[in-house]
Amino acid sequence: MYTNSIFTSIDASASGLTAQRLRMDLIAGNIANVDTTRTPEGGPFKRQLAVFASKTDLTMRKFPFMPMKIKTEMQHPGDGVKVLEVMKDPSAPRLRYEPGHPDANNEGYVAYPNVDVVKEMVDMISASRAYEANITSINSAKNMALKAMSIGK
Amino acid sequence: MLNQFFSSVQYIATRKALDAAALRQKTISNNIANVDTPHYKRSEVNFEDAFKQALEKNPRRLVGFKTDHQHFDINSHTDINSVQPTIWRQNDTFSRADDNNVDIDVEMAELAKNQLMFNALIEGLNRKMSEYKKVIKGQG
Repeated sequence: MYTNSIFTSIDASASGLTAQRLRMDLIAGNIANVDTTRTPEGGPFKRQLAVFASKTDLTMRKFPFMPMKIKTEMQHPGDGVKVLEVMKDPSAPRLRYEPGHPDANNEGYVAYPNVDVVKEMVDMISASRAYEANITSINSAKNMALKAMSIGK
Repeated sequence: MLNQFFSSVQYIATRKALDAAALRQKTISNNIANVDTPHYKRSEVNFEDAFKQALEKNPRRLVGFKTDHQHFDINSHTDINSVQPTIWRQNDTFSRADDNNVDIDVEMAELAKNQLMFNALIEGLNRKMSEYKKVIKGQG
């Protein structure tokens, strides 16, 4: 049963590491660009966020007409997580009254990115904790594989 | 003698439990990897209960008596060799606003438990094997 061996569980955790690292990179970019008012596509920088999805489609979408089973039997435990897309936060930019600013509009307001540093810091803690959890999971699988090598010794 | 060991309940149970532990490891890893996935529901592996049921010599359950080969099985005795671990997805709990029900603390605890279980199984297997080794080598 190779598809469910200990090695594939390392792969599942590694996908978690990749996803969380990308999320961390996006957060770093968001914080770095907290005051960026000019971008190549015009306008202020937009906060970027990663959209995660399960690699094998095990996610439950709720349909109002479907009776929900408390537990469902499955054939496969799943292969970890993937990043579906990097999307831009569609919320409105922060407006600040700075008439002397070169990017100010006619009323003197400057559109700053919709990045909230406090929110980014909280997301960063969440991403780094999730990263650590995946590391622990890899180490655990590694120890199991090592222990399995001692069978019959 | 060795055949006796390899067909013993202890050996089969250990082998199957190790398979179940590997599958459980994968399931927990997947749960942890999906800790931030919206709509994801955690899954878990069930093996020990099914195996225990198969091990019971005198099950305290109603067992259907068959008078025809076309009859359905009602709690008939399952062979321990045919017991397979099953994966269940838990759909009924809600812990967060994004509809994800992975509790990272529970998963980490399960991970530690599973690793201990795996190590204990291998330790037990090794002990039994070293007994046979002593017999083969003729050491007291």
